[in-house]
Amino acid sequence: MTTQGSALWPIGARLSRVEDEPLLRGQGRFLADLKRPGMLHARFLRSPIAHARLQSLDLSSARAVPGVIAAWSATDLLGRLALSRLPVAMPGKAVRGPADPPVLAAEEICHIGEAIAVVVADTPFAADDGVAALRPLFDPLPVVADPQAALDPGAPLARAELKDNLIAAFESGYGDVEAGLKDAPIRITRRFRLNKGAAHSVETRGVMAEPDPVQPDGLILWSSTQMPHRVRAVVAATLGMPELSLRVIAPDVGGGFGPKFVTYPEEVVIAALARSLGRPVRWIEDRAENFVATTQERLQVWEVTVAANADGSLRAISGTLVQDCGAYLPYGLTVPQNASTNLLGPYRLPAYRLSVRCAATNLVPVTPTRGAGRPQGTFVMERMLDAVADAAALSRIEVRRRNLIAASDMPYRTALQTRDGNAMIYDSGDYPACLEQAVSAATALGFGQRPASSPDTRMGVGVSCYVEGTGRGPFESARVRVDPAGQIEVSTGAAAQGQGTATVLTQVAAAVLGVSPASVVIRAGDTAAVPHGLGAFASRQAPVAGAAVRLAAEAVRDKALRVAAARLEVAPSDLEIVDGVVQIVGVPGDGIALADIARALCGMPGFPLPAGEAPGLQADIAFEPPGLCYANGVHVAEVEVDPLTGQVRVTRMLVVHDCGVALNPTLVEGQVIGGTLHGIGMALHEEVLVDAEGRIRNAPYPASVVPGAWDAPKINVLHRESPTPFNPLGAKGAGEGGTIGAPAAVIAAIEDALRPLSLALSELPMTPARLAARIANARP
Amino acid sequence: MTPAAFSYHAPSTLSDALRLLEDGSAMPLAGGQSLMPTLIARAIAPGAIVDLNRIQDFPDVELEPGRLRTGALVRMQQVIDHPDIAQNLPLLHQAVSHIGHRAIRNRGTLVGSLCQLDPWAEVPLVACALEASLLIAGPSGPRQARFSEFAAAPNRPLLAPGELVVAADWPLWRPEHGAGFSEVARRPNDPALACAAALILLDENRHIQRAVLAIGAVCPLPIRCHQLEALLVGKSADDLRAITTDMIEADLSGHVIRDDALADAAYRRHLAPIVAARAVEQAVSRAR
Amino acid sequence: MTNRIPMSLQLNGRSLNVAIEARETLADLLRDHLGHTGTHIGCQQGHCGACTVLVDGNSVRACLMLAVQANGSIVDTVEGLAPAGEPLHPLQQALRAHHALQCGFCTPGIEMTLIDLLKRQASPTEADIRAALAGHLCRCTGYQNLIEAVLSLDGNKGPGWR
Repeated sequence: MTTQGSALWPIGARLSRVEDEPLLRGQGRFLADLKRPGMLHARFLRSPIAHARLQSLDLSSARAVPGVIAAWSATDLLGRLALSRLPVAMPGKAVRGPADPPVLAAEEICHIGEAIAVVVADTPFAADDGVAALRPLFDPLPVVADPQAALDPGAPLARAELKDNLIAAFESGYGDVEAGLKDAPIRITRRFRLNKGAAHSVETRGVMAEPDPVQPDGLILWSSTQMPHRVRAVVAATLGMPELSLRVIAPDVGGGFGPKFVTYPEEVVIAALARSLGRPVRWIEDRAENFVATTQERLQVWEVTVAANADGSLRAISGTLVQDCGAYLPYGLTVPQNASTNLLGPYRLPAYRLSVRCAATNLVPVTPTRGAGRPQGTFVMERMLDAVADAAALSRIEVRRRNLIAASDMPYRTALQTRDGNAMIYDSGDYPACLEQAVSAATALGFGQRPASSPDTRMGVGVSCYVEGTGRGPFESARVRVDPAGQIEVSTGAAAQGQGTATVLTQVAAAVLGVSPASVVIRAGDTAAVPHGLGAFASRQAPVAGAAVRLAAEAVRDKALRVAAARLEVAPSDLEIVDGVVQIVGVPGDGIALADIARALCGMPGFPLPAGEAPGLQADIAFEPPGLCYANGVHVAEVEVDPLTGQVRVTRMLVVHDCGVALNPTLVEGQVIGGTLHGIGMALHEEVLVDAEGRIRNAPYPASVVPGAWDAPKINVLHRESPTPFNPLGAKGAGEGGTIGAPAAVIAAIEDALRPLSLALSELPMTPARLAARIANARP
Repeated sequence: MTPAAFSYHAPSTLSDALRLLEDGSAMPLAGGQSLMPTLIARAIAPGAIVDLNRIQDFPDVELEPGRLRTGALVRMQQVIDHPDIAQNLPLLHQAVSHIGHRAIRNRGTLVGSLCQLDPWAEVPLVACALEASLLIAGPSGPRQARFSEFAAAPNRPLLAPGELVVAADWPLWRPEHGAGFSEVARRPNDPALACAAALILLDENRHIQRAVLAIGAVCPLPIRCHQLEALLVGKSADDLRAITTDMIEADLSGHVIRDDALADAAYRRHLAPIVAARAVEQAVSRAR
Repeated sequence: MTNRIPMSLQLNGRSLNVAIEARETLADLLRDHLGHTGTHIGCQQGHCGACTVLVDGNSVRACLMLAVQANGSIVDTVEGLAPAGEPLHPLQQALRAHHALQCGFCTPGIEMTLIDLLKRQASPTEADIRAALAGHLCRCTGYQNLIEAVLSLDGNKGPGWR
């Protein structure tokens, strides 16, 4: 009935968020805010050393501390687990060795912060006292602290069970790269180093578990997680309990950004403790722990050669990528896989080959943070294009014009496959028009014309283009139900981490059902809401969960119309729903309220249901997107550089962003602005500094690496809409695009500001110290 | 994390506090902005905490001819708001506005920063430049110590067991002097990577009569640049050559250059002449 | 049996008597004993600002104050800005209207800092607002909408402003 992409209020409206009021009042319910009667407090003993044999651990000193109820090591857990390792491996042939993390480290400790034991007490103080009383003894083993060194022949093993540290290897590519490279008029090789970073959400992790008061042998687990259904699957399997007996709930989550979609050992341990002790147990991660117990991202070293024609058009890209994976693979190879495919960007690239080697090291395990490897692939492509532009004496904008995929080529079938084996197809988007819009908007705003604020500083402008595969499947679930009071209940496997998921889903349901948003209630982040679900990652809540909700709401609407039509003796096509009342089109009054229809479908014992319908005014849908839908955008960055100190300030940013139909433009802008600042942080400051012993040198200070209010430029956001054909909303994901394109634009802008020095900046973050050193080396 | 257990005392007089501090495992607590994180992380585990915040005996801000006295509980924010300090100690006033954020400054104390002796801290740098002195009370009676002696090592003031700093005395320069302060940090109010404090007095011909230059955050403790100061004396304010790396090197030689997660030694070395030049320039421009 | 110290304080206008362990922080007291979980703990070092409250009218980090140090003090937390059942405080309304929060974890601390700022400066400039927000980490919003929300108040605080 409603055509895809057409605005049906409040889809597309700048609705204020339904989440806001309790959060503003301080009535949010984050993990650390949850309390249960008789709750115990857990603390973990973590390794201060990156690689060692655990020689001995005497728990009696902890057990003797007043207030301590229990202390467990891996040995104590053994009898309580069906599996000693978390079954988190992802399908695929690239992984070459065991990579699942243990629940508690038993004999070999493989990264700093790895959990060795847990102490449970009646107060957090006593739990810390218990951990402080423990004196583990370690036999140090050689530390593998660098992925390249890890892959050198004869390097010590990061984990004794491995044959070597090459934990995974794969190739991405297509076409005749040799032909492309041969005799190319322009041929440039660059190395890139993208240093380790982390998500640093302001809320750390936490887990609470309690025996289910209603279900015998049941357990309720709360976790600050982005993927409750996956947590349920992994924890149930590890504990050897049926999934039916385990309910996992994500409360309000204070930012996820990736690492909170990993399932962690702590979730298993806390569940096991609650089960065994028969009492609620809660663990709150502190900031220092967050630096070593929550996953991190990157360290990537690339060596890439680009070949182009004299007119700047690309011929081939060939290269290698060494990816640090840390000690285990709790979430597969997403980062290098996405980096390798996203390198293509919105460009025509005739031939491509990237050889990826993933190293096991004694560092904290690597999983995606915002952008999930795409910012890195985009960064490499954008920097190579800038190098081609300089070599071809073209402007950096012109070189992009000459390589962008044309609108008439859409949908554009690249020759790559995504990790699920499907062809990577860009479904919709007008990349050249997006670039032109960005260029003219930035020009109109005076980018590049603003004078420096002092005689010693220099201004510069940089541009980057990106694409992002969003709406990752394989599915998301939604149940829409109208209850007899007329309230619309939307249950979904979607999970929120602050992006306004509930608001967007409310808008979709309200639009389709013709009700006020106030009568919609969203149940998300709870495995009891729907039997199957995935959750929040890869910019998918709007396109996948939103689509599921739309389809379910349409099914409910169609059912309501059928029932009403039978009662009113008209055709369903003669009816509409206005303010929750089904009425004849244009004839208010004399309608039937949805609540009445819902009541009728509840059934009375012995009486038939209306019109041969199934019970309940509800529908369950699992939406399976046919493929990733590709958002795209252009970032223009204006920076001010102090060549003396190397300090860089991003003064302004412009982002032209296309996420298809924007379900709530205000929320989309919020994601683009927040994501862009996140990317600026990646470009200039974000780095987890690791020493040769695998210890983190700049823990536990997130403030030194995360952008603050003084780092935040004015970010102008312009929307474009290229609806996707892959879901009935026409919407694409919006959560990560800001991050994906920002780093390349910022670095390009720095090079522009220092143009006479012809710097080729290829390391992230480009901290003041690094930039000052590069400037000093470049000066004659 | 949470602190290890300790007994808590909140004396209302200085003498009560000193008595409690005779216990070797007792630590004083004033602003707490440095102490509390270490306590919470269990990096330290004192047996007792002696809270100084209820003591009435400390001086407040007292302006006397030639010096300004700040008592142990004078907060950083008070330093920014106090008109006597803005007027008479512009260097201190300017330096403190680079510190932390309002909530930190509302609790953190000036004297606390002097006792903490963090290498990157602005207040010890100013104390070094102004040649401040500390009034100390203890079991052996009251004494006065020059900052240069007091600052024995980073995070290790020269205090005997049971001693407590009661106030800091800041010598005043003539009203015509110019004060300059320059800092490079990752962002405003982050820990300094390098900072410099300069004081300049001009004679009636606008030649430099007296010059002080101190550099902080580059070495483990703030250092005075005596050789550079000597070079500056006699120069015309309107004809100052730029402070070059070589000129600073002479004063830095023999000192350890800090290398840590925030910045390596090479970058700090690079920044030292930059902040020095900026501070001197500012001081000269403000001298009358 | 751990030693408990009796203390009293005024919390959002209500007088309370409690008994706490010496090593509890003000944040612990508010969150664990007094049911006021709006004040959040993000770093325990004073950097992230999520725990900011007002003590005797001054903004402080509740995670860096021992609870006992607030004995006899007046403490204001986010819950006091708009008591239950009452409409949102004008500052909160402005934050909502400008989409100045996403996950909401940093928000209460920011609200208290902004209340403190606006008490002292009815019409802060953008630089004043940035300086105030510089003491807070927000990983979601990019700060931009927060700044615009405060600028929109521009001295016109109207009725309901405390």
